[in-house]
Amino acid sequence: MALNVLIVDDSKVMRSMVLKTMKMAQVPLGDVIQAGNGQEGLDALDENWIDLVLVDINMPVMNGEEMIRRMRAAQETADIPVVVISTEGSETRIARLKEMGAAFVHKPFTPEEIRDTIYSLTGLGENHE
Amino acid sequence: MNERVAQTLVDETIDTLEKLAFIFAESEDDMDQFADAERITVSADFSGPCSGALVMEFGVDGLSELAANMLGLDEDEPISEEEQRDALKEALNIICGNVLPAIAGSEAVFSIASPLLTEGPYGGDTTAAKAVARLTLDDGFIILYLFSDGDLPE
Repeated sequence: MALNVLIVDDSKVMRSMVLKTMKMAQVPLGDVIQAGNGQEGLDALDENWIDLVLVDINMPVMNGEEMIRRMRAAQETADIPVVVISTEGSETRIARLKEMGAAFVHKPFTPEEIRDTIYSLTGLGENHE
Repeated sequence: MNERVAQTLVDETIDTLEKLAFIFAESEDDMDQFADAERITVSADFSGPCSGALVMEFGVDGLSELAANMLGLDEDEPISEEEQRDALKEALNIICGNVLPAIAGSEAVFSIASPLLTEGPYGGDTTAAKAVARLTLDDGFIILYLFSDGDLPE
């Protein structure tokens, strides 16, 4: 199953790194949509069928935590798997994100961390070696 | 000058650059050799248990390697000036995100603003920095200044 993925980060270079890392980790990708902040991410969710969201926390306009909160509050997006990819080091904030059902990958990351987190969250690992 | 925090700056920067861009940095007190070197400055304001800014002067000679390694590009692949500067901003963002909890503890919640970039050396008063880290790279150098409005958490 190929995943339609939304990558939300205010850094274009980081979005490219995340995408390249997913390709290196052989994550099966369908459409890949990119957004520069949480509001753009929500707009992209309105306009596209998305299977997986990868989102940063510290962004202008709307941060990733608020975006996830709004996703969970909307019936159409409440169950979409979310991976937070961030420099966030606060256990308090990470716990809040996990309570909203998000998985967490710390920057800087390795391809294996991205692959294992996505496979665990989506169940893809059950079908791939 | 807070030596413990300065060492944390050094350690987190070395670790981040190695993992993020396969760049190996070393702590170096004597930066005279880079006195006239062209540099670019990137800074990120932060707020939380303490407020301040992390400022990084980065030798321009090392900019393309940083960006190319972050993006996994081959040596002959073109890389735009915009991508180089965006890579530098992201590198500082990640260093800052790793330094703050290492200083203030894992329960502290910080907000980090989007990094800002200026050409040339840092124009502010570097003697006001709570901690300074100086590192050399294969191509170039880094000088980090940590500013805080109050005392840094112990």
